[in-house]
Amino acid sequence: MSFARSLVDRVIAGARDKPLIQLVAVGTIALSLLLVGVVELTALNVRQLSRGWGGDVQMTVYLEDGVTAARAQKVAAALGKLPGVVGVRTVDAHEAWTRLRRSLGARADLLDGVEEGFLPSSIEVSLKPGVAEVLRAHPAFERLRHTAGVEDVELMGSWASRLRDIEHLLSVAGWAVAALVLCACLYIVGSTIRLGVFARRDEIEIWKLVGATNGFVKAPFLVEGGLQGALGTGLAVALLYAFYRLASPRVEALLGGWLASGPLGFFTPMQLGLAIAFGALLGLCGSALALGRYVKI
Amino acid sequence: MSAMIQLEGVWKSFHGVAALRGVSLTVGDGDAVLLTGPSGAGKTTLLRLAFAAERPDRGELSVAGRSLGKLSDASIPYVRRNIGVVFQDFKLLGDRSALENVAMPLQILGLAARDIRARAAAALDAVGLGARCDARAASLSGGEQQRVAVARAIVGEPAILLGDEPTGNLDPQRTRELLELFEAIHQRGTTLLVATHDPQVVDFGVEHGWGCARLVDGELLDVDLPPSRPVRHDEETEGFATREDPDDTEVIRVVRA
Repeated sequence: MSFARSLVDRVIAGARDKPLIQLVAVGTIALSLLLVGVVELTALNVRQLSRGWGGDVQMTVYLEDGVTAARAQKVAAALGKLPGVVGVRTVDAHEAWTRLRRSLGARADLLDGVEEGFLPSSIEVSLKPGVAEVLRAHPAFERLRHTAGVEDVELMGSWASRLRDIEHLLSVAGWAVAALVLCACLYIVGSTIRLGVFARRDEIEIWKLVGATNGFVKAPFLVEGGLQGALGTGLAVALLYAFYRLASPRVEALLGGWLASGPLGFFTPMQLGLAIAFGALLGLCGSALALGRYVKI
Repeated sequence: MSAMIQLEGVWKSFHGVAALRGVSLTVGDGDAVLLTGPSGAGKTTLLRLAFAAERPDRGELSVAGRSLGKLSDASIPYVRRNIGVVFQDFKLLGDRSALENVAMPLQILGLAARDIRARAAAALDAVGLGARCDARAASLSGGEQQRVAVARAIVGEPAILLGDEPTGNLDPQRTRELLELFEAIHQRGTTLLVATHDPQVVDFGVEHGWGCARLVDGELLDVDLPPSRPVRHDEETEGFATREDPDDTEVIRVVRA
């Protein structure tokens, strides 16, 4: 108990010694992580939009009016057996109409008075990467277009793959920014801890002279680093949420009008909790790296 | 009587300059020995070796039967917990109270806060500062600060008390008081090794039968150690090797009052 109390006392004493440095460290970590958060949030919403727009569907087989459900299932089953096909899903006229209405968002009233069955039933086919490009020039594609019950076949190659490319680019950018920010955070925490070690060098010397172990001397600095990381991440999360609340209505209005999107998403509480825990771990590592060289018996 | 501090042919250099040249000295359990000599003679280096702040370049150095030259870094703190050191510059934290300064060696032992406070207050009481527990160290006089440093050195009831010019900042009256305190600690069975070039300290040592070893330019010239003296065996406690100590290869029994 006394060790814990002594630890808390020493952590508080450290924070009291240099509050401005602590604030600057937490603020810098928050701003750095905010950058990662913005990139990741954008990637999350692009993924969501991509799914909403059927970005995972590379081929749509439109069925003729009056095709029976059994015929549609038969065509779908045949498509499912083709090499390069990942998934097949039949969409009837009612579901197609519901989707269109949802995707129009605030402008769904445009469909008022329109008959529900005016959209054709279809089969959505997901393909392995690169298959769409090959299929376009393949004789099987033409044969499919002339199959009984099939009205038309559309390959979404160009825009779907572009969307996937954007997703991929954002994902890579997210990782790159995260790696850079991770290094920056380690450096920031390490520098703050080194300043703390320097400011308290006399105290550290005395602790060592009276028989304190390295662990005892390092513990408050490790806690300080962990707290800086956790508080910095917490602040970044709060700023990101404020940014999201502020920007999402405008972005939704913009996308709703132009591209028919749904509401923008935000990270789940579980993801946010994990981010804060990761921030604490990051601070702890930065502190440990800095102390390794500066605090020795 | 067993040797508490033993040096055999110890050499220590700093940047190519020899501070100790083949020093051999044995301080027995319960002895009090003065280490005299001019400034730069190597007295502080010898003391720093004794509490493992330095390691010898050559030769054998053992404290309470344990060779410090072969000691792992992880074991050094456990050795230091059994050695109290009084520094010439006190090494106190000026912004902390006298009690907080004295409590430091107890805090690392993980004792309960109530026990720490009681023992630190008792140590301050023993050096005549019982009424100044809560005074900030920086607000105390030089003599008071030196006594706080002594209280911190003895609060953990160490087997060995080292003093590095402990009277360097004190007037003759305060010097006498401090030496009497050292003698009282010595009488309880603590081994004393005090580095000094203060004639008043030497006179006091002679008066009380303390041994004397004279260092000049890193060499031990005159050694006049006291005859073996009985140590009061009031209580037996385990000494240097603690159960936490990673180098706990042997348990050395030391006798304390």
